[in-house]
Amino acid sequence: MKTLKQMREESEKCLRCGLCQIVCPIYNVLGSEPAVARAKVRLARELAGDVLKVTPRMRKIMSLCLNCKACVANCPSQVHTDKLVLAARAQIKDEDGLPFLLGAALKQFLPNNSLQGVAAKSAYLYQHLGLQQAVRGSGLLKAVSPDLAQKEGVMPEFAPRTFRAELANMTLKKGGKVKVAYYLSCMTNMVNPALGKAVIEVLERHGCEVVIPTDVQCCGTPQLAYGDVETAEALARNNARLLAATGADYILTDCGTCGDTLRHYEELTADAAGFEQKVLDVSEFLVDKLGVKPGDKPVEAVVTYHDSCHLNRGQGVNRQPREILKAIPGLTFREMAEADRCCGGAGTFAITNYDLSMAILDRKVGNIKAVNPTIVAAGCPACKMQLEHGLARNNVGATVAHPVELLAKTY
Amino acid sequence: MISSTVAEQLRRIAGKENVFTEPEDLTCYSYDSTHLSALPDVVVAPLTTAEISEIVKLANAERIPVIPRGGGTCLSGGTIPTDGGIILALHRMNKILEIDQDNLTATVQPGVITATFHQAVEKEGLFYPPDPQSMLMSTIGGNVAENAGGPRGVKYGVTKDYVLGLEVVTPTGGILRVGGKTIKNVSGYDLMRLFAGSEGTLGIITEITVRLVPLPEAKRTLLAMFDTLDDAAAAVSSIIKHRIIPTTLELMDHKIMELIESFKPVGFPMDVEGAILIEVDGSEHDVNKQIDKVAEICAACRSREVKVAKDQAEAAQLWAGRRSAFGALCKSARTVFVEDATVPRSKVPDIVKRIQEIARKYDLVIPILGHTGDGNMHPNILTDERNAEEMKRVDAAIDEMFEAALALGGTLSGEHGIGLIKRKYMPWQFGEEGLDFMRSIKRSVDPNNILNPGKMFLMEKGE
Repeated sequence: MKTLKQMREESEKCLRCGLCQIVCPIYNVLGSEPAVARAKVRLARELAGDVLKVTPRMRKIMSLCLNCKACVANCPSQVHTDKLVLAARAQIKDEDGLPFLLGAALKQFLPNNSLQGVAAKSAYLYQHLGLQQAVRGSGLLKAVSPDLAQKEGVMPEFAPRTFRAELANMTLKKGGKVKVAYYLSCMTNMVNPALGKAVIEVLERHGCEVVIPTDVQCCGTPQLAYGDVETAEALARNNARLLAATGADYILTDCGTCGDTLRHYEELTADAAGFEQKVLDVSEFLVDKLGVKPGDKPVEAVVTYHDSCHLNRGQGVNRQPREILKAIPGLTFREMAEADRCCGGAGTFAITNYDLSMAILDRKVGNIKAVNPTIVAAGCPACKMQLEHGLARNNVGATVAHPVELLAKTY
Repeated sequence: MISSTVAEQLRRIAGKENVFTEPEDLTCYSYDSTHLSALPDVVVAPLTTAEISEIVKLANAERIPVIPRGGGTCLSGGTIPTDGGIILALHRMNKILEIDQDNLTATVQPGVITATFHQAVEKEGLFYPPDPQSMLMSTIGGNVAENAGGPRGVKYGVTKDYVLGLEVVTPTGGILRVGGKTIKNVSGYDLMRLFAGSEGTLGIITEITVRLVPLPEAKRTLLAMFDTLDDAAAAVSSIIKHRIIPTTLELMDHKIMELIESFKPVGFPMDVEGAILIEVDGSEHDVNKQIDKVAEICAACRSREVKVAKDQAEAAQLWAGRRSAFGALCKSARTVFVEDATVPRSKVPDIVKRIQEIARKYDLVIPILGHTGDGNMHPNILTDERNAEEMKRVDAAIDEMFEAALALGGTLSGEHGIGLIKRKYMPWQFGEEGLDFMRSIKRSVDPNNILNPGKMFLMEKGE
């Protein structure tokens, strides 16, 4: 990946017109200049030119970015603020290191598949043996920190068994007209194994041979987000080798964020040659490569669709998930306002900047409420988690599902 | 640098979480939409008029400059803290206080984003016409201070034509109210007009009451294409001469249309030298009559083709093209100078010719577009600020453009203001007598030269 110094030219492209102000969800809430892309580009430029140094304030300002790329899409000069911010974070991490726990999470926990299994199990038990209720009810969390009580509420519902564990008992069909490698994301693994099963079923119904290299690790997005480029590169090398070794025609993802990072693996490792064309979102593959074929069972629901930033602006996939939804019998599709606006999740952002994240989320929930759906569809499990939290905290009775999960219900 | 006691006092006034002294924050408030920059000593984001008054009093006691700042989209360098001091960031004062249906007025705080305000009043069937192209990010306070214009200026005028009342913190910290909700108001000096366009040098605007008008019932759009830019410019003058006042009347030359088409194609013609994009609004009946008349006049001015948008979608498409002009310019050059020389409307063909001559003389690429219905030209110089030799030619070309505009009975700025960028031309337009008059106003209300010093003109003669 390019260092910030190597990206100096990019930071000099900004003409300071301020058009990024309109689309930046964080600026919309805070209104102060450091919140907006234009300022981060300027700070990146001064950091690259050694005019400014890495400081706690620099770290704080650079952390106030969702990497939603709305500024990039709206920028007349097409300045890649997203890449500048990530490069700045990498420089900050190189000079200043990472907080211990965060470093451990990025380097030890997320890349370790068996640890993920143990953690998911513990979390599930915590949530389902009454322990969570007990802890919540006891006021213990509030006593420790009022913030922590809220943050605990953002925690996803963990699954009783990880998708990896489920896969051990599943037999995937051999042979088919197209061989596809399905990349197993951490979220599908730990939080939503049902999505994994749905993806496999849908792909097999479309005549695909699905191969799943279960040794793949975390895609590297969290590491990149926190500037740990080294770990991200190591993960990319391993994942790229495993995925390429399947000999599949396409590499499919069901997570907008993983997919966006996988598509850019070529910037992280030489082992990912050709990935940009090979990596497709599962909805894009179904619609553009095969033509989506739903079953006969109707799904009686009013559905609206939330564009994940990494799926929409990151990968340019926005039409295909909607086409899948519209093809489902019985389903009523209703477009919401600002469907492509960030939900404020952005990985751990919702935990590290809870109030800000909730202000961004509430606008999204307001747009959802206005179309009164029974289901909100989203192509990224991280958005799903955030949206579920937003719907619950605003007492909206809709559920959140991946478009492919809804498609699977038609068979 | 300000002393730590001053920073401490500012924290006491505005709350410590609203005062910023770290270099990262200062850097973020060092620039606007121009290529200029300078670091302030401190940034303060107040919430109330009373806080601002206290801050200004403190600044007077300590002789520290105060620079009010809205969206930071200024095109004249008006919010650059050239002498350091306090940047007064007004984003926390962002409430629409009232939309008065009975009087057709609205009262807002300065930090309200202009486009947000448009949406709010249009929801009520009302209309606030000033529409600077930066309206999606600029603030109303900034619009009043800079007396911002916009494409609709030809029919509806500029910001000052809508301001009915102001609350202002004076340069010594007093709090002043002028005007109110009355449409007619002829008491005393017209301080409203003095503050509108004062570029933060005479007061800090803390509350604004504006006049609203009924939202027009209908609008239509027309694109007229011409083989020569001269004919297009002549058509602009002719439409006005025939006493038709469109809502907007935009001239585009071949170069700008080419840039737009390669950026976001909307179907502008590639084989003509010039085109004008016109919108008319009013009652259904008037709009249809006017658009026919405009088409007739364009034909008489040798237009090759006139295309009337058949529906709102087609009109929106054309305007989207015009609006993307700025993006297209940015994409095509490293540095873009957006100028805004303005001439009487009958002189549009003359200034267009002069700009073309100047571009040739200095070997520069200067696409022309403009809100030409009000004589407001936007010659845009495409250049690269790293090229020192070319920058000299750019400077000379800009000098000559303003000389030409003034010679045609025009003005230095139609809507961007003077700020730092056009300060040096002020004696050309006003002479020493005119500037001295302005200086004596400034001196009498701001004896310590605290408010946005050095903007528009310098305090000493001959500078």
